[in-house]
Amino acid sequence: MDSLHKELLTVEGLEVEFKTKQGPVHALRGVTFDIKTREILGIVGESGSGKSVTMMSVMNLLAENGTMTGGSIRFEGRELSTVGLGTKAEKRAHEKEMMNIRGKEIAMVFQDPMTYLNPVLTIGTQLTEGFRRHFGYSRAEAKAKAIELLGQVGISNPEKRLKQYPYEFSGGMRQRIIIATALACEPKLLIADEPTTALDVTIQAQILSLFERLVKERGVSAIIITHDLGVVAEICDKIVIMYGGQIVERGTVKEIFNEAKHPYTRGLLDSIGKVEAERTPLRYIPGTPPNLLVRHAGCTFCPRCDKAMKICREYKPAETVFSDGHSCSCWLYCRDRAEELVRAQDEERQETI
Amino acid sequence: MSEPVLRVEHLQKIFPVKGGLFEKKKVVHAVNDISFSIGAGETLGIVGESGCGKSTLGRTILKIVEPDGGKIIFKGEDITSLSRAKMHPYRKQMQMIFQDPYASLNPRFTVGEMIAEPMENYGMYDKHERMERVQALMETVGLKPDHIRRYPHEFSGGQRQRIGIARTLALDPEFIVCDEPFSALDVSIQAQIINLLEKIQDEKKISYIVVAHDLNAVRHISHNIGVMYLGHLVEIGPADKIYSTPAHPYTQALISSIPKADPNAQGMMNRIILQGEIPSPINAPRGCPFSTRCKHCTEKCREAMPALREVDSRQVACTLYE
Repeated sequence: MDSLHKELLTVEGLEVEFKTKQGPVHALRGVTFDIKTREILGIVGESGSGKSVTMMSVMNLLAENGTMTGGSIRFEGRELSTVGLGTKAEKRAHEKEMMNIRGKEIAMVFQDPMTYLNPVLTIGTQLTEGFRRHFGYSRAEAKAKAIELLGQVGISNPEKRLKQYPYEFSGGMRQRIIIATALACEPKLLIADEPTTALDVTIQAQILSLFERLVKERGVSAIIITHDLGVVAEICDKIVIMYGGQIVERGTVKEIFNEAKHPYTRGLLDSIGKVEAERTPLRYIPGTPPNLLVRHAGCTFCPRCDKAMKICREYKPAETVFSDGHSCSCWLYCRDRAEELVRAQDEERQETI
Repeated sequence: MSEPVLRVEHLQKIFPVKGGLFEKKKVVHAVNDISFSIGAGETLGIVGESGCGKSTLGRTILKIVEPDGGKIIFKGEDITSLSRAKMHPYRKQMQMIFQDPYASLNPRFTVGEMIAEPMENYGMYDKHERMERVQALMETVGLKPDHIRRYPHEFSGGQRQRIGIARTLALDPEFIVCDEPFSALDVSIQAQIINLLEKIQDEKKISYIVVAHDLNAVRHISHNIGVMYLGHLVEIGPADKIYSTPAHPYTQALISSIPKADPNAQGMMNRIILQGEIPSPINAPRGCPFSTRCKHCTEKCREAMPALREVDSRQVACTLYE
């Protein structure tokens, strides 16, 4: 491994459960991925596939009814997951550490800029909050830095703009401000949850090029969560495809777009109308996303899969590696190992009973 | 060419905006001098960014909001100034599919009641025939027969959109305005709904106006595309012309902004990134509305809005082609 690309964040076998009135929801079922320095990773999936929950777990911002029940999250060697934290004191100490990481080392850009900006505080206050807390800047220093940041994200007349409130800005400008806020403390990792979904296409093009420029210039790593494969194809290096709380396929952008292996990934690629397409019926994935209240014994995608076999319903597929970084979890590619996988899962089930 | 199903001439819709106590009353020209026509079994896609007036256009054509000028001619009849009562028979033939399948269905109605309701309103068929039709409609849109007694909250977004479509089809309309029919749905579900709308159109020769901001989806379903900017129609023509060789500078920027789901394409390289944002429609610029962001802008553009004229088998409103 060259020195430019060091391991930054490694998530392994992460499991998250939410307690609800209808019973536990298994939102994440063993999620594993990693990101190295100076990489842009795209996480793609439909609503409810667990992409946002994964990121909320990394930031330790899960809703109160959510708990991490297994796996690990390592950020530069430090453990961020709360798995195995027993006593209240341990939890408090962990939360204190997280407060030093959030914003300073891992920052987040949210989907809807209006919801995440506080309507009763000026832009200036919200922009400077981070570095006043983490670096103890004085008011004057903070102001100078805020003006510089607004200039970098292309907001004109920054001095006047600092004193304004979020409602005085348009959607695209608010998203620029959110990006400026996230970059304020020079984080090592930037997580963007659907950063352009709420924006119009011409504004989306502005924001994406800004995002790419800033990430490249500052050498930070970024994770972009999106359902738009077009966005991913343009700015990401690697892609992770999620379905029903699991990662079904991962690879570089070219591997995923040119040699997709998993039937879900293929279905997803087929169902986006190509701009050049003729008016022939679009290929689509039948059915609807899975209900995560139910524990699935086998592959979560099998009810919608046109290649489903008997084994898919009963046993979980194992990961098959095609090349360094490109892998896929599907029974189509691990049939030769079926016997041992089935035996292992049977034994596991025996134990839990 | 036969008589178009719908013809719109110089349509206008103006909304008053509350000014201050001593300020002059202000208005927003949401739909500004728009003309086009749609033939039987054709789809016109209306694209543009938020606030460009595309949804208002759809609503004005159906007279959900009253137009302030121009003419709406449906199957040769001028319906622009018809009263509510006189509109009633036309409403049967002109229907609407809404954007948000979570908000547009009554939570207290079962699927069966909801699909039967429009037919009851028009006193069509007897009770027994209605039930048969409800079942047939459910089959058309791909709902299972046992869904008939269920309530909307039991369905996912895609299936709710199917319920909405079945309800719209209950009256055998000839013309449907679809207002952002896919934008609340996941990608894999969007494709299902697009296919369904196309299948229905091929079978029943219904004309659609599809209002959408998702340029990929609308490309697939539309025969013709109209591009709107700040209440004006800036370009209109066959979909493949608009997408392959956009003529208006705004259309060019819009088409080049579509993220291409193909890592081998040089999307980012040839992209036209517009400077600035859409001006407020309250203080819309004089002359061409796009002049404030256009790189080809000249003095002439700031003086008057150019008229639509035929260029390379589509119509464009731009001084570049005069």
